[in-house]
Amino acid sequence: MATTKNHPRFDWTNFHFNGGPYPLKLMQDIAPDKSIANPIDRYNDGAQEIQRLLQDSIDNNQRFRAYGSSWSLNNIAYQPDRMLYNSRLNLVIDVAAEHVHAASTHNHQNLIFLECGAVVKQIHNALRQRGKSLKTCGASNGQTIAGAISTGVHGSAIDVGSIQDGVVGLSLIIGPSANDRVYIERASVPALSDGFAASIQSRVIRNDDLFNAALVSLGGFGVIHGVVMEVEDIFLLKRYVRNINPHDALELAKTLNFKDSPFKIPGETAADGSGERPYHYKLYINPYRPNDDFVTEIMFKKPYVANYPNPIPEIQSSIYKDLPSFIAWLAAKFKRSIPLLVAGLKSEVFPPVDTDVLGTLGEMFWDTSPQGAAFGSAFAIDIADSEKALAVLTKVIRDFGPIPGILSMRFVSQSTATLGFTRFPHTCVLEVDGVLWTGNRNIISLEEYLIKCIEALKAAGIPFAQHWGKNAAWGFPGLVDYMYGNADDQWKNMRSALLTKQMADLFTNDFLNTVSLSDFRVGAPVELIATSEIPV
Amino acid sequence: MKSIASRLLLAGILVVLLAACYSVKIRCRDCLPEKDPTNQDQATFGHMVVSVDTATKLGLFKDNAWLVKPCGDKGFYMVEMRVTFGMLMANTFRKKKIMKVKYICEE
Ligand SMILES: Cc1cc2nc3c(=O)[nH]c(=O)nc-3n(C[C@H](O)[C@H](O)[C@H](O)COP(=O)(O)OP(=O)(O)OC[C@H]3O[C@@H](n4cnc5c(N)ncnc54)[C@H](O)[C@@H]3O)c2cc1C
Repeated sequence: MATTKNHPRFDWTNFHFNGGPYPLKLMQDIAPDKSIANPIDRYNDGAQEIQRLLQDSIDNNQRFRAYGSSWSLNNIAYQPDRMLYNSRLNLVIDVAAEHVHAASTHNHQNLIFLECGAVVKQIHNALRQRGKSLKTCGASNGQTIAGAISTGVHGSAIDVGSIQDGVVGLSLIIGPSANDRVYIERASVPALSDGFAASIQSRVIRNDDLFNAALVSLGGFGVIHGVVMEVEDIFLLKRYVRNINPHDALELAKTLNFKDSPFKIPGETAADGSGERPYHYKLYINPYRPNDDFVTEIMFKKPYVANYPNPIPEIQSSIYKDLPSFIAWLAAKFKRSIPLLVAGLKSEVFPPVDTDVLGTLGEMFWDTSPQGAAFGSAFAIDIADSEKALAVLTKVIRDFGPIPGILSMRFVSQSTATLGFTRFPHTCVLEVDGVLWTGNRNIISLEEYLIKCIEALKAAGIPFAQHWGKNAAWGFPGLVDYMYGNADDQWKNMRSALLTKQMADLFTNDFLNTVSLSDFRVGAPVELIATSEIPV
Repeated sequence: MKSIASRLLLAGILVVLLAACYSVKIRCRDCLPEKDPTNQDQATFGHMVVSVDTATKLGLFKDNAWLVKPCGDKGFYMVEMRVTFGMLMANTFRKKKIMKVKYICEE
């Protein structure tokens, strides 16, 4: 039997000490029964234990929320009653050919069934052993798969969506009864058979709208126990870091037209001399010197070959790793020093220019070392607005700051998730990352700064959405409506149709209340979540 | 006045020196750390860390020491050896050499 260790009166905090510590009545640490050799049996045993915990929460009239690596930079994973640490439930299970749905176009070798707590690094390793790879991932590898899809984690693969967009099936636990294990997938793109669902003791719902709503669920659709991911053959990435002039960089940001850009990487051009389309394009920008060259990190997809030099020593991870926290102290004391400090630290926080590296996706986006209190904010905008939005946010930073952070831009395709924040046909994610600081008479606070960003983007008429797992002024009036139009209503309808009122409340937390997503729509028609016809 | 200033300076230097240390960390490239959700320490967040403060006696004909630590049937995810300036000083005059070792096993 899977077992759970209870930690009463636990002060929970997230990886970057962002807010908190948050008092918690009970932290529950669930561990699988490793004596069960058959992975599906072990999976089902874990499901049974989760359901026991849910029943116990109901009996004690307490809320319940699953969480992963605590990497979100806000309180989205927190609620004060019971939190389930699920990272030890991390099975990686191959999909048998006979479990692929008869109407599916998927090759079973390109599908993998992951238990909620599998972390991205573990998934990279497991897939590599099978000659496979994720299609994309974030800038580092410590998130759990359930945590990553729940907030919409993205990288900068320009023609690929975010992590959740590789998911083709979701195994949810929405209550303590036998009927509360559900396996959901799209009717338009079925993946696995009813036999597979039966093997994990779940009822099947094939419904596109429900699936899309549950994909980025913010922890509100119950416990995600497992996900079926579509993967691909392993590939290599050739990574270049170069200076790029702001004009060329922003032209590329607005169009992603690499073919006609004057910016080219020698060796990455077609026979006619035009630029090849990269897999990944990212820009690093010092907001205090916007006329300086930007730094670009650009990667091209290559076929996998076995013998290439170990790239890890060359890989520099994200900003989180590098901005030393004494900057926060200096910033609060002497705000005029911030631009100087940021400029001085350029070599620390930007990847080193003119380095070329070859490696797998898992190697490119390798481990990060915890470095204490940091903040991160991310605005998704249409690429067409990227130059304008950069100017707006740079102005906010300069007018109301300075603040101890740097800007970056990443690019991804639109997410299919109802509340995927990367919601524009081609999305630019404009990020400001830095060290946490405390506002005082000298310097604007992070909270005030985040409000100014929203106000400025709204005033400029730029549609945007914000990363669910990062810092934002989440209490800003009407924010979610502004960002999502009717999509938030669709999400609430689906949630209300799938969950009972009691369970919807059990899976609610302050974050969902703050962003006005917790309200339950009594009488939401069950037809909303009925299985749809599979198109022939 | 001058002597107070120089004493303060000396004290400052001493504090810096005593705090100064070196550490070497070795991390396994493809390993995963053993988990501990109760560890919310900045540097090792979420990982199960074992710390060893050790004093090793080294003789004339013995120039190394072994620490044998259990990691179940797995290996190490990370090992850190740290020697502070204070330890360095003490080690110069003592037979027993001291250092701090921290390790995280593989999951
Ligand atoms: C160093 C670092 C680098 C980062 N890089 C990126 C990046 O490159 N791109 C990017 O987009 N983001 C990035 N982020 C943000 C981070 O990846 C996301 O916030 C992600 O969601 C965190 O995953 P987690 O496993 O830690 O989930 P948590 O933060 O623990 O939880 C996130 C949400 O998922 C829910 N959840 C977790 N498990 C379950 C489950 N089993 N069932 C139901 N709900 C569940 C929680 O309740 C919560 O609502 C980074 C963060 C850090 C600290």
